[in-house]
Amino acid sequence: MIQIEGVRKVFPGRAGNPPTVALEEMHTQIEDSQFITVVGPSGCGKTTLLNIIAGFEAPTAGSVLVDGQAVMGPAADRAVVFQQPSLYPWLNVRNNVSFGLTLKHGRRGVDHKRVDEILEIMGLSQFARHAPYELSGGMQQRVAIARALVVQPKILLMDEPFGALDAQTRGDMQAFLLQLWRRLRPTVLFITHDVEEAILLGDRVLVMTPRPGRLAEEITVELERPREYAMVLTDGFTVHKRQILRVLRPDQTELHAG
Amino acid sequence: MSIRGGPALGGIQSAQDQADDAALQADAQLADAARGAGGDGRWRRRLVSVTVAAALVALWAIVAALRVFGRAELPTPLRVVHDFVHAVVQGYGGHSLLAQAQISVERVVVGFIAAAFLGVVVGMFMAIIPVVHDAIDPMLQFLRPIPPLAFIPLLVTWFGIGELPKVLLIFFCTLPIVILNTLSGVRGTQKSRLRVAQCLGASRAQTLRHVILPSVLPEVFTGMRVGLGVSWTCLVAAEMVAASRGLGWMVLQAGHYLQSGMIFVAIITIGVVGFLMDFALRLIEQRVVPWKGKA
Ligand SMILES: Nc1ncnc2c1ncn2[C@@H]1O[C@H](COP(=O)(O)OP(=O)(O)OP(=O)(O)O)[C@@H](O)[C@H]1O
Ligand SMILES: [Mg+2]
Repeated sequence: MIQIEGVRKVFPGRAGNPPTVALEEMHTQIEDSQFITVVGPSGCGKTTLLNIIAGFEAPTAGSVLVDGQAVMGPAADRAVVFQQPSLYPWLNVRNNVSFGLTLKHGRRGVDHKRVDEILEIMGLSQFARHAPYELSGGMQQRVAIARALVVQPKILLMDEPFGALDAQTRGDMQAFLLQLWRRLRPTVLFITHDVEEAILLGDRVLVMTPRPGRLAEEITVELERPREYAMVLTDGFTVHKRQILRVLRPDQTELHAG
Repeated sequence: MSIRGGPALGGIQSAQDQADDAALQADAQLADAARGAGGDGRWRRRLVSVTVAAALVALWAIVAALRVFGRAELPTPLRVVHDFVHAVVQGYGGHSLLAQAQISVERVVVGFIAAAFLGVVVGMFMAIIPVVHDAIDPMLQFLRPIPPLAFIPLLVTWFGIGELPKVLLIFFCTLPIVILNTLSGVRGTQKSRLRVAQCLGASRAQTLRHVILPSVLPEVFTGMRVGLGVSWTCLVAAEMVAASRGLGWMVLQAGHYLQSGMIFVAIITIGVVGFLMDFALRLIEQRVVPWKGKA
Protein backbone atom coordinates (compact mmCIF):
# COMPACT_ATOMS: atom_id res chain seq x y z
CA MET A 1 0.00 0.00 0.00
CA ILE A 2 1.20 3.49 -0.86
CA GLN A 3 0.09 6.34 1.38
CA ILE A 4 0.61 9.89 0.21
CA GLU A 5 0.17 12.13 3.21
CA GLY A 6 0.06 15.87 2.88
CA VAL A 7 2.81 15.95 0.28
CA ARG A 8 3.88 19.44 -0.72
CA LYS A 9 6.76 20.34 -2.99
CA VAL A 10 8.25 23.78 -3.46
CA PHE A 11 11.17 24.35 -5.82
CA PRO A 12 13.27 27.32 -4.70
CA GLY A 13 13.37 30.09 -7.30
CA ARG A 14 16.72 30.61 -8.91
CA ALA A 15 18.23 33.95 -9.96
CA GLY A 16 15.57 36.10 -8.35
CA ASN A 17 12.62 34.08 -9.64
CA PRO A 18 9.89 33.34 -7.15
CA PRO A 19 9.79 29.75 -5.86
CA THR A 20 7.54 27.29 -7.70
CA VAL A 21 4.92 25.45 -5.73
CA ALA A 22 4.70 22.22 -7.72
CA LEU A 23 2.49 20.18 -5.40
CA GLU A 24 0.12 21.35 -2.70
CA GLU A 25 -1.26 19.11 0.03
CA MET A 26 -1.62 15.82 -1.82
CA HIS A 27 -3.47 13.12 0.07
CA THR A 28 -4.35 9.73 -1.28
CA GLN A 29 -3.92 6.05 -0.76
CA ILE A 30 -3.20 3.28 -3.25
CA GLU A 31 -4.02 -0.33 -2.50
CA ASP A 32 -1.77 -3.20 -3.57
CA SER A 33 -2.14 -4.37 -7.16
CA GLN A 34 -4.25 -1.39 -8.10
CA PHE A 35 -3.74 0.29 -11.43
CA ILE A 36 -3.82 4.02 -10.81
CA THR A 37 -3.62 6.58 -13.58
CA VAL A 38 -2.85 10.26 -13.10
CA VAL A 39 -3.98 12.99 -15.50
CA GLY A 40 -3.52 16.71 -15.27
CA PRO A 41 -2.45 19.71 -17.31
CA SER A 42 1.19 20.14 -18.24
CA GLY A 43 3.29 21.48 -15.39
CA CYS A 44 0.83 20.49 -12.65
CA GLY A 45 3.37 18.36 -10.82
CA LYS A 46 2.71 14.82 -12.07
CA THR A 47 6.37 14.05 -12.64
CA THR A 48 7.21 15.68 -9.32
CA LEU A 49 4.76 13.37 -7.58
CA LEU A 50 6.27 10.33 -9.27
CA ASN A 51 9.80 11.43 -8.40
CA ILE A 52 8.82 11.78 -4.76
CA ILE A 53 7.23 8.34 -4.64
CA ALA A 54 10.27 6.86 -6.41
CA GLY A 55 12.51 8.54 -3.85
CA PHE A 56 14.42 10.68 -6.35
CA GLU A 57 13.26 13.84 -4.65
CA ALA A 58 12.26 14.62 -1.09
CA PRO A 59 8.92 16.35 -0.40
CA THR A 60 9.08 19.82 1.16
CA ALA A 61 6.41 18.72 3.61
CA GLY A 62 4.41 15.58 4.22
CA SER A 63 5.54 12.05 3.47
CA VAL A 64 5.07 8.99 1.29
CA LEU A 65 4.75 5.63 3.00
CA VAL A 66 5.14 2.30 1.25
CA ASP A 67 3.75 -0.51 3.38
CA GLY A 68 3.97 1.79 6.37
CA GLN A 69 7.63 2.66 5.77
CA ALA A 70 8.57 6.24 4.87
CA VAL A 71 10.29 6.52 1.49
CA MET A 72 13.86 7.73 2.05
CA GLY A 73 15.33 7.16 -1.40
CA PRO A 74 15.07 5.01 -4.50
CA ALA A 75 14.96 1.26 -3.94
CA ALA A 76 14.42 -1.91 -5.90
CA ASP A 77 10.80 -2.37 -4.77
CA ARG A 78 9.77 0.65 -6.86
CA ALA A 79 10.69 0.37 -10.53
CA VAL A 80 10.39 3.39 -12.79
CA VAL A 81 9.73 3.66 -16.52
CA PHE A 82 10.43 7.12 -17.90
CA GLN A 83 8.98 8.89 -20.89
CA GLN A 84 12.28 8.27 -22.70
CA PRO A 85 13.42 4.62 -22.69
CA SER A 86 16.84 5.56 -21.18
CA LEU A 87 18.44 2.28 -22.17
CA TYR A 88 22.16 1.67 -21.82
CA PRO A 89 23.62 1.75 -25.33
CA TRP A 90 26.72 -0.23 -24.31
CA LEU A 91 24.55 -3.23 -23.39
CA ASN A 92 22.55 -5.29 -25.84
CA VAL A 93 18.80 -5.70 -25.38
CA ARG A 94 19.15 -8.82 -23.29
CA ASN A 95 21.72 -7.32 -20.95
CA ASN A 96 19.64 -4.18 -20.60
CA VAL A 97 16.70 -6.29 -19.51
CA SER A 98 18.76 -8.33 -17.06
CA PHE A 99 20.57 -5.25 -15.69
CA GLY A 100 18.68 -5.25 -12.38
CA LEU A 101 19.30 -8.97 -11.88
CA THR A 102 23.01 -8.53 -12.61
CA LEU A 103 23.24 -5.80 -9.98
CA LYS A 104 21.61 -8.05 -7.43
CA HIS A 105 23.04 -11.47 -8.16
CA GLY A 106 26.14 -10.81 -10.24
CA ARG A 107 26.61 -11.76 -13.87
CA ARG A 108 26.67 -15.46 -13.03
CA GLY A 109 23.60 -15.43 -10.81
CA VAL A 110 21.19 -14.10 -13.43
CA ASP A 111 18.05 -16.21 -13.80
CA HIS A 112 18.20 -16.65 -17.56
CA LYS A 113 14.86 -18.40 -17.75
CA ARG A 114 13.13 -15.40 -16.27
CA VAL A 115 14.90 -13.08 -18.72
CA ASP A 116 13.97 -15.30 -21.66
CA GLU A 117 10.39 -15.40 -20.52
CA ILE A 118 9.99 -11.65 -20.30
CA LEU A 119 11.75 -11.14 -23.65
CA GLU A 120 9.25 -13.60 -25.10
CA ILE A 121 6.26 -11.85 -23.57
CA MET A 122 7.50 -8.51 -24.87
CA GLY A 123 8.07 -9.91 -28.33
CA LEU A 124 11.76 -9.08 -28.13
CA SER A 125 13.27 -12.56 -28.38
CA GLN A 126 14.63 -12.07 -31.86
CA PHE A 127 16.23 -8.79 -30.88
CA ALA A 128 17.98 -10.00 -27.74
CA ARG A 129 21.41 -9.41 -29.22
CA HIS A 130 20.63 -6.10 -30.90
CA ALA A 131 21.92 -2.81 -29.60
CA PRO A 132 19.15 -0.57 -28.24
CA TYR A 133 19.75 2.06 -30.91
CA GLU A 134 18.97 -0.53 -33.55
CA LEU A 135 15.37 -0.80 -32.32
CA SER A 136 12.32 1.31 -33.06
CA GLY A 137 11.00 3.69 -30.41
CA GLY A 138 8.17 1.37 -29.41
CA MET A 139 10.51 -1.58 -29.06
CA GLN A 140 12.92 0.48 -26.99
CA GLN A 141 10.12 1.38 -24.63
CA ARG A 142 9.22 -2.30 -24.37
CA VAL A 143 12.81 -3.05 -23.38
CA ALA A 144 12.58 -0.36 -20.70
CA ILE A 145 9.38 -1.91 -19.36
CA ALA A 146 10.90 -5.39 -19.44
CA ARG A 147 13.93 -4.08 -17.55
CA ALA A 148 11.65 -2.70 -14.86
CA LEU A 149 9.45 -5.80 -14.64
CA VAL A 150 12.13 -8.49 -14.61
CA VAL A 151 13.07 -7.65 -11.03
CA GLN A 152 9.39 -8.19 -10.12
CA PRO A 153 8.92 -4.89 -8.33
CA LYS A 154 5.93 -4.52 -6.08
CA ILE A 155 5.36 -1.08 -7.51
CA LEU A 156 5.70 0.12 -11.07
CA LEU A 157 5.89 3.88 -11.61
CA MET A 158 5.42 5.02 -15.20
CA ASP A 159 5.81 8.60 -16.40
CA GLU A 160 4.02 9.03 -19.72
CA PRO A 161 5.74 5.91 -21.02
CA PHE A 162 3.80 5.87 -24.30
CA GLY A 163 3.80 9.63 -24.83
CA ALA A 164 6.32 9.52 -27.66
CA LEU A 165 4.64 6.71 -29.59
CA ASP A 166 2.26 6.81 -32.54
CA ALA A 167 -1.38 5.89 -31.98
CA GLN A 168 -1.07 2.37 -33.36
CA THR A 169 1.98 1.39 -31.31
CA ARG A 170 0.48 3.10 -28.34
CA GLY A 171 -2.65 0.94 -28.52
CA ASP A 172 -0.52 -2.21 -28.79
CA MET A 173 1.58 -1.15 -25.83
CA GLN A 174 -1.49 -0.45 -23.71
CA ALA A 175 -2.76 -3.94 -24.41
CA PHE A 176 0.67 -5.35 -23.60
CA LEU A 177 0.85 -3.52 -20.33
CA LEU A 178 -2.58 -4.65 -19.19
CA GLN A 179 -1.74 -8.23 -20.05
CA LEU A 180 1.46 -8.03 -18.02
CA TRP A 181 -0.30 -6.40 -15.14
CA ARG A 182 -2.88 -9.19 -15.06
CA ARG A 183 -0.12 -11.77 -14.82
CA LEU A 184 2.23 -10.09 -12.37
CA ARG A 185 -0.15 -7.84 -10.45
CA PRO A 186 2.20 -5.04 -9.45
CA THR A 187 0.80 -1.81 -8.08
CA VAL A 188 0.95 0.64 -10.98
CA LEU A 189 1.04 4.42 -10.95
CA PHE A 190 0.72 5.51 -14.55
CA ILE A 191 1.04 9.16 -15.56
CA THR A 192 -0.45 10.37 -18.81
CA HIS A 193 -2.03 13.46 -20.23
CA ASP A 194 -4.26 11.43 -22.49
CA VAL A 195 -7.67 11.24 -20.82
CA GLU A 196 -8.78 8.18 -22.80
CA GLU A 197 -5.63 6.32 -21.89
CA ALA A 198 -6.19 7.14 -18.24
CA ILE A 199 -9.72 5.72 -18.27
CA LEU A 200 -8.90 2.73 -20.42
CA LEU A 201 -6.07 1.53 -18.20
CA GLY A 202 -6.93 2.60 -14.70
CA ASP A 203 -8.93 1.22 -11.81
CA ARG A 204 -8.91 4.73 -10.53
CA VAL A 205 -8.03 8.03 -12.19
CA LEU A 206 -6.44 10.80 -10.15
CA VAL A 207 -7.26 14.12 -11.78
CA MET A 208 -5.02 17.01 -10.85
CA THR A 209 -5.57 20.77 -10.95
CA PRO A 210 -3.23 23.17 -12.74
CA ARG A 211 -0.16 24.26 -10.78
CA PRO A 212 0.13 24.12 -7.86
CA GLY A 213 -1.02 20.54 -8.36
CA ARG A 214 -3.73 19.33 -6.07
CA LEU A 215 -6.00 16.37 -6.32
CA ALA A 216 -9.13 17.73 -7.99
CA GLU A 217 -11.00 14.48 -8.20
CA GLU A 218 -10.56 10.73 -7.88
CA ILE A 219 -12.66 8.74 -10.28
CA THR A 220 -13.23 5.04 -9.88
CA VAL A 221 -13.50 3.54 -13.35
CA GLU A 222 -16.55 1.33 -13.67
CA LEU A 223 -15.50 -0.56 -16.77
CA GLU A 224 -15.11 -4.31 -16.58
CA ARG A 225 -11.80 -6.07 -17.12
CA PRO A 226 -10.24 -7.21 -19.35
CA ARG A 227 -10.43 -3.85 -21.04
CA GLU A 228 -10.30 -3.37 -24.75
CA TYR A 229 -10.09 -0.37 -26.99
CA ALA A 230 -13.69 -0.67 -28.22
CA MET A 231 -14.82 0.38 -24.76
CA VAL A 232 -14.09 4.02 -25.60
CA LEU A 233 -17.39 3.93 -27.49
CA THR A 234 -19.49 2.87 -24.52
CA ASP A 235 -21.67 5.21 -22.50
CA GLY A 236 -19.82 4.39 -19.30
CA PHE A 237 -16.59 5.56 -20.87
CA THR A 238 -18.12 8.80 -22.10
CA VAL A 239 -19.47 9.55 -18.66
CA HIS A 240 -16.01 9.19 -17.16
CA LYS A 241 -14.47 11.25 -19.91
CA ARG A 242 -16.93 14.05 -19.33
CA GLN A 243 -16.27 13.90 -15.59
CA ILE A 244 -12.54 14.35 -16.17
CA LEU A 245 -12.76 16.99 -18.87
CA ARG A 246 -15.07 19.04 -16.68
CA VAL A 247 -12.16 19.34 -14.26
CA LEU A 248 -9.40 19.78 -16.80
CA ARG A 249 -11.14 22.14 -19.24
CA PRO A 250 -14.23 23.54 -17.53
CA ASP A 251 -15.03 26.13 -20.23
CA GLN A 252 -14.64 23.82 -23.21
CA THR A 253 -16.56 20.82 -21.90
CA GLU A 254 -19.63 22.91 -21.38
CA LEU A 255 -19.50 23.84 -25.05
CA HIS A 256 -19.18 20.26 -26.25
CA ALA A 257 -21.37 18.58 -23.71
CA GLY A 258 -23.97 21.32 -23.43
CA MET B 1 44.90 17.80 -37.27
CA SER B 2 47.27 19.67 -34.98
CA ILE B 3 49.48 21.17 -37.57
CA ARG B 4 47.01 23.41 -39.27
CA GLY B 5 47.00 25.70 -36.25
CA GLY B 6 50.70 26.51 -36.64
CA PRO B 7 52.95 26.73 -33.61
CA ALA B 8 51.81 25.75 -30.18
CA LEU B 9 50.92 29.24 -29.00
CA GLY B 10 47.86 28.78 -26.85
CA GLY B 11 47.71 25.13 -27.67
CA ILE B 12 44.95 24.61 -25.19
CA GLN B 13 42.71 27.34 -26.43
CA SER B 14 43.04 25.91 -29.87
CA ALA B 15 41.74 22.72 -28.31
CA GLN B 16 38.32 24.32 -28.59
CA ASP B 17 38.78 24.80 -32.31
CA GLN B 18 39.86 21.24 -32.59
CA ALA B 19 36.85 20.03 -30.68
CA ASP B 20 34.78 22.04 -33.13
CA ASP B 21 36.65 20.36 -35.94
CA ALA B 22 35.87 16.98 -34.48
CA ALA B 23 32.24 17.97 -34.13
CA LEU B 24 32.13 19.10 -37.74
CA GLN B 25 33.60 15.83 -38.81
CA ALA B 26 31.07 13.95 -36.73
CA ASP B 27 28.34 16.00 -38.40
CA ALA B 28 29.67 15.05 -41.78
CA GLN B 29 29.71 11.41 -40.79
CA LEU B 30 26.20 11.79 -39.48
CA ALA B 31 25.11 13.29 -42.76
CA ASP B 32 26.59 10.25 -44.45
CA ALA B 33 24.76 7.93 -42.14
CA ALA B 34 21.55 9.86 -42.65
CA ARG B 35 21.89 9.39 -46.36
CA GLY B 36 21.77 5.66 -45.70
CA ALA B 37 25.44 4.76 -45.17
CA GLY B 38 25.60 5.41 -48.90
CA GLY B 39 28.78 4.19 -50.53
CA ASP B 40 27.78 6.64 -53.22
CA GLY B 41 27.76 9.84 -51.17
CA ARG B 42 30.94 8.78 -49.47
CA TRP B 43 32.81 8.33 -52.72
CA ARG B 44 31.55 11.61 -54.03
CA ARG B 45 32.88 13.34 -50.94
CA ARG B 46 36.22 11.56 -51.19
CA LEU B 47 36.43 12.64 -54.79
CA VAL B 48 35.92 16.26 -53.77
CA SER B 49 38.67 16.01 -51.15
CA VAL B 50 41.14 14.39 -53.52
CA THR B 51 40.36 16.82 -56.33
CA VAL B 52 40.91 19.85 -54.15
CA ALA B 53 44.17 18.43 -52.80
CA ALA B 54 45.38 17.65 -56.31
CA ALA B 55 44.41 21.12 -57.49
CA LEU B 56 46.40 22.69 -54.67
CA VAL B 57 49.46 20.65 -55.55
CA ALA B 58 49.07 21.65 -59.19
CA LEU B 59 48.78 25.30 -58.22
CA TRP B 60 51.85 24.93 -56.08
CA ALA B 61 53.75 23.36 -58.99
CA ILE B 62 52.75 26.20 -61.33
CA VAL B 63 53.64 28.97 -58.88
CA ALA B 64 56.98 27.32 -58.14
CA ALA B 65 57.75 26.80 -61.84
CA LEU B 66 56.95 30.44 -62.60
CA ARG B 67 59.54 31.47 -60.01
CA VAL B 68 57.20 33.94 -58.36
CA PHE B 69 59.28 33.33 -55.27
CA GLY B 70 62.94 32.41 -55.19
CA ARG B 71 63.91 28.78 -55.21
CA ALA B 72 64.88 28.96 -51.55
CA GLU B 73 61.49 30.32 -50.57
CA LEU B 74 59.26 27.92 -52.49
CA PRO B 75 60.56 24.58 -53.65
CA THR B 76 58.89 22.75 -56.51
CA PRO B 77 56.94 19.61 -55.70
CA LEU B 78 59.60 17.64 -57.53
CA ARG B 79 62.25 19.15 -55.31
CA VAL B 80 60.28 18.09 -52.25
CA VAL B 81 59.98 14.55 -53.56
CA HIS B 82 63.71 14.55 -54.22
CA ASP B 83 64.44 15.77 -50.68
CA PHE B 84 62.02 13.23 -49.30
CA VAL B 85 63.83 10.37 -50.99
CA HIS B 86 67.09 11.83 -49.79
CA ALA B 87 65.83 12.07 -46.20
CA VAL B 88 64.58 8.50 -46.31
CA VAL B 89 67.66 6.98 -47.91
CA GLN B 90 70.63 9.11 -46.85
CA GLY B 91 68.92 10.64 -43.84
CA TYR B 92 68.96 14.19 -42.57
CA GLY B 93 71.09 15.39 -39.67
CA GLY B 94 72.55 11.94 -39.20
CA HIS B 95 69.27 10.04 -38.98
CA SER B 96 66.89 8.72 -41.59
CA LEU B 97 63.47 10.32 -41.86
CA LEU B 98 61.96 7.19 -40.40
CA ALA B 99 64.19 7.44 -37.33
CA GLN B 100 63.34 11.14 -36.97
CA ALA B 101 59.65 10.31 -37.11
CA GLN B 102 60.11 7.42 -34.73
CA ILE B 103 61.70 9.53 -32.00
CA SER B 104 58.91 12.10 -32.32
CA VAL B 105 56.23 9.44 -32.19
CA GLU B 106 57.83 7.91 -29.11
CA ARG B 107 57.81 11.23 -27.31
CA VAL B 108 54.19 11.85 -28.18
CA VAL B 109 53.04 8.35 -27.31
CA VAL B 110 54.69 8.33 -23.88
CA GLY B 111 53.48 11.79 -22.89
CA PHE B 112 50.05 11.23 -24.38
CA ILE B 113 49.38 7.86 -22.80
CA ALA B 114 50.49 9.06 -19.38
CA ALA B 115 48.24 12.11 -19.70
CA ALA B 116 45.28 10.09 -20.97
CA PHE B 117 45.50 7.66 -18.08
CA LEU B 118 46.00 10.21 -15.36
CA GLY B 119 43.50 12.58 -16.96
CA VAL B 120 40.68 10.04 -16.86
CA VAL B 121 41.43 9.09 -13.26
CA VAL B 122 41.75 12.67 -12.04
CA GLY B 123 38.68 13.74 -14.02
CA MET B 124 36.60 10.95 -12.48
CA PHE B 125 37.74 11.79 -8.96
CA MET B 126 37.10 15.48 -9.50
CA ALA B 127 33.62 14.76 -10.75
CA ILE B 128 32.74 12.45 -7.90
CA ILE B 129 34.48 14.00 -4.90
CA PRO B 130 33.79 17.72 -4.52
CA VAL B 131 36.90 18.32 -2.38
CA VAL B 132 39.15 16.97 -5.10
CA HIS B 133 37.42 19.22 -7.60
CA ASP B 134 37.85 22.30 -5.44
CA ALA B 135 41.50 21.45 -4.90
CA ILE B 136 42.41 20.95 -8.54
CA ASP B 137 40.05 23.14 -10.53
CA PRO B 138 41.68 26.53 -9.77
CA MET B 139 45.02 25.17 -10.93
CA LEU B 140 43.50 23.94 -14.17
CA GLN B 141 41.76 27.24 -14.80
CA PHE B 142 45.02 29.06 -14.10
CA LEU B 143 47.08 26.89 -16.42
CA ARG B 144 44.60 26.81 -19.28
CA PRO B 145 45.32 30.20 -20.84
CA ILE B 146 49.12 29.86 -20.58
CA PRO B 147 50.67 28.92 -23.91
CA PRO B 148 52.69 25.71 -23.53
CA LEU B 149 55.63 27.34 -25.29
CA ALA B 150 56.09 29.53 -22.24
CA PHE B 151 57.02 26.52 -20.16
CA ILE B 152 59.80 25.35 -22.44
CA PRO B 153 62.59 27.54 -21.03
CA LEU B 154 61.69 26.46 -17.51
CA LEU B 155 61.56 22.79 -18.43
CA VAL B 156 64.90 23.08 -20.15
CA THR B 157 66.40 24.85 -17.15
CA TRP B 158 65.12 22.20 -14.79
CA PHE B 159 65.43 19.03 -16.82
CA GLY B 160 68.02 19.81 -19.48
CA ILE B 161 67.51 18.93 -23.11
CA GLY B 162 67.01 15.19 -22.69
CA GLU B 163 63.78 13.30 -23.31
CA LEU B 164 62.16 14.18 -20.01
CA PRO B 165 61.30 17.86 -20.62
CA LYS B 166 59.76 17.05 -24.00
CA VAL B 167 57.64 14.25 -22.67
CA LEU B 168 56.65 16.38 -19.70
CA LEU B 169 55.60 19.24 -21.94
CA ILE B 170 53.37 16.95 -23.97
CA PHE B 171 52.04 15.48 -20.78
CA PHE B 172 51.11 18.87 -19.32
CA CYS B 173 49.57 20.10 -22.58
CA THR B 174 47.36 17.07 -22.92
CA LEU B 175 46.41 16.46 -19.31
CA PRO B 176 43.97 19.37 -18.79
CA ILE B 177 42.10 18.53 -21.98
CA VAL B 178 41.55 14.93 -20.97
CA ILE B 179 40.62 15.94 -17.41
CA LEU B 180 38.11 18.55 -18.52
CA ASN B 181 36.48 16.23 -21.03
CA THR B 182 36.19 13.43 -18.50
CA LEU B 183 34.77 15.88 -16.00
CA SER B 184 32.14 17.18 -18.36
CA GLY B 185 31.41 13.59 -19.39
CA VAL B 186 30.60 12.57 -15.83
CA ARG B 187 28.65 15.76 -15.22
CA GLY B 188 26.70 15.16 -18.39
CA THR B 189 25.71 11.61 -17.49
CA GLN B 190 22.00 11.59 -18.14
CA LYS B 191 20.06 11.80 -14.92
CA SER B 192 17.59 9.20 -16.11
CA ARG B 193 20.39 6.68 -16.67
CA LEU B 194 21.48 7.16 -13.07
CA ARG B 195 17.93 6.96 -11.80
CA VAL B 196 17.20 3.75 -13.66
CA ALA B 197 20.16 2.14 -11.91
CA GLN B 198 19.18 3.54 -8.52
CA CYS B 199 15.68 2.19 -8.63
CA LEU B 200 17.03 -1.20 -9.67
CA GLY B 201 18.95 -1.16 -6.41
CA ALA B 202 22.43 -0.15 -7.59
CA SER B 203 24.95 0.84 -4.93
CA ARG B 204 27.18 3.88 -5.42
CA ALA B 205 30.04 1.68 -6.53
CA GLN B 206 27.81 -0.21 -8.95
CA THR B 207 26.45 3.01 -10.40
CA LEU B 208 29.99 4.23 -10.95
CA ARG B 209 31.18 1.01 -12.52
CA HIS B 210 28.14 0.08 -14.60
CA VAL B 211 26.62 3.44 -15.55
CA ILE B 212 28.94 6.42 -15.15
CA LEU B 213 32.10 4.80 -16.46
CA PRO B 214 30.63 3.53 -19.73
CA SER B 215 28.66 6.76 -20.08
CA VAL B 216 31.77 8.94 -20.10
CA LEU B 217 33.73 6.82 -22.55
CA PRO B 218 32.58 8.73 -25.64
CA GLU B 219 33.67 12.04 -24.14
CA VAL B 220 36.92 10.53 -22.93
CA PHE B 221 37.67 9.57 -26.50
CA THR B 222 36.78 13.03 -27.75
CA GLY B 223 39.18 14.41 -25.14
CA MET B 224 41.88 11.97 -26.17
CA ARG B 225 41.58 12.84 -29.83
CA VAL B 226 41.74 16.55 -29.19
CA GLY B 227 44.58 15.87 -26.74
CA LEU B 228 46.50 13.89 -29.32
CA GLY B 229 46.34 16.80 -31.72
CA VAL B 230 47.58 19.16 -29.03
CA SER B 231 50.35 16.69 -28.17
CA TRP B 232 51.72 17.04 -31.66
CA THR B 233 51.54 20.81 -31.53
CA CYS B 234 53.46 20.80 -28.27
CA LEU B 235 55.99 18.28 -29.45
CA VAL B 236 57.02 20.27 -32.48
CA ALA B 237 57.36 23.34 -30.29
CA ALA B 238 59.51 21.42 -27.82
CA GLU B 239 61.72 19.99 -30.53
CA MET B 240 62.20 23.37 -32.06
CA VAL B 241 63.76 24.67 -28.89
CA ALA B 242 65.72 21.93 -27.28
CA ALA B 243 66.40 18.90 -29.39
CA SER B 244 68.93 17.42 -31.74
CA ARG B 245 66.54 14.99 -33.39
CA GLY B 246 62.91 14.68 -34.31
CA LEU B 247 60.58 16.12 -36.92
CA GLY B 248 60.23 19.48 -35.19
CA TRP B 249 63.97 19.81 -35.01
CA MET B 250 64.16 19.00 -38.73
CA VAL B 251 61.87 21.90 -39.54
CA LEU B 252 64.01 24.34 -37.58
CA GLN B 253 67.33 22.96 -38.77
CA ALA B 254 66.29 23.02 -42.41
CA GLY B 255 65.06 26.56 -41.86
CA HIS B 256 68.48 27.64 -40.63
CA TYR B 257 70.08 26.43 -43.82
CA LEU B 258 67.29 27.65 -46.10
CA GLN B 259 66.59 24.07 -47.20
CA SER B 260 62.99 24.82 -48.02
CA GLY B 261 62.44 21.44 -49.65
CA MET B 262 63.43 19.71 -46.43
CA ILE B 263 61.12 21.99 -44.42
CA PHE B 264 58.27 20.81 -46.61
CA VAL B 265 59.33 17.19 -46.14
CA ALA B 266 59.32 17.55 -42.36
CA ILE B 267 56.02 19.42 -42.26
CA ILE B 268 54.29 16.94 -44.51
CA THR B 269 55.65 14.05 -42.47
CA ILE B 270 54.35 15.64 -39.27
CA GLY B 271 50.95 16.01 -40.87
CA VAL B 272 50.86 12.45 -42.16
CA VAL B 273 52.06 10.88 -38.92
CA GLY B 274 49.62 12.98 -36.89
CA PHE B 275 46.82 11.93 -39.19
CA LEU B 276 47.77 8.25 -38.93
CA MET B 277 47.81 8.38 -35.14
CA ASP B 278 44.41 10.05 -35.07
CA PHE B 279 43.16 7.42 -37.47
CA ALA B 280 44.43 4.65 -35.20
CA LEU B 281 42.74 6.26 -32.23
CA ARG B 282 39.53 6.50 -34.23
CA LEU B 283 39.66 2.79 -35.01
CA ILE B 284 40.07 2.04 -31.32
CA GLU B 285 37.22 4.41 -30.56
CA GLN B 286 34.90 2.61 -32.96
CA ARG B 287 35.69 -0.67 -31.23
CA VAL B 288 35.32 0.60 -27.68
CA VAL B 289 32.33 2.93 -28.08
CA PRO B 290 30.37 1.76 -31.10
CA TRP B 291 27.35 3.63 -29.76
CA LYS B 292 29.02 7.04 -29.92
CA GLY B 293 26.75 9.52 -31.67
CA LYS B 294 23.91 6.99 -31.84
CA ALA B 295 22.49 7.08 -28.35
N1 LIG C 1 13.99 20.60 -10.57
C1 LIG C 1 13.10 21.60 -10.64
N2 LIG C 1 13.44 22.85 -10.28
C2 LIG C 1 12.56 23.86 -10.34
N3 LIG C 1 11.28 23.73 -10.74
C3 LIG C 1 10.88 22.51 -11.12
C4 LIG C 1 11.76 21.38 -11.09
N4 LIG C 1 11.07 20.30 -11.52
C5 LIG C 1 9.83 20.73 -11.80
N5 LIG C 1 9.70 22.05 -11.55
C6 LIG C 1 8.48 22.86 -11.71
O1 LIG C 1 7.43 22.20 -11.03
C7 LIG C 1 6.24 22.24 -11.80
C8 LIG C 1 5.73 20.83 -12.00
O2 LIG C 1 6.61 20.13 -12.85
P1 LIG C 1 6.36 18.62 -13.28
O3 LIG C 1 7.52 18.22 -14.12
O4 LIG C 1 6.08 17.81 -12.10
O5 LIG C 1 5.06 18.79 -14.18
P2 LIG C 1 4.27 17.66 -15.00
O6 LIG C 1 2.91 17.63 -14.45
O7 LIG C 1 5.04 16.40 -15.01
O8 LIG C 1 4.23 18.32 -16.44
P3 LIG C 1 4.27 17.58 -17.88
O9 LIG C 1 2.92 17.03 -18.13
O10 LIG C 1 4.56 18.70 -18.81
O11 LIG C 1 5.35 16.54 -17.82
C9 LIG C 1 6.58 22.94 -13.09
O12 LIG C 1 6.12 24.27 -13.00
C10 LIG C 1 8.07 22.93 -13.16
O13 LIG C 1 8.53 24.10 -13.75
MG1 LIG D 1 6.10 15.28 -16.51
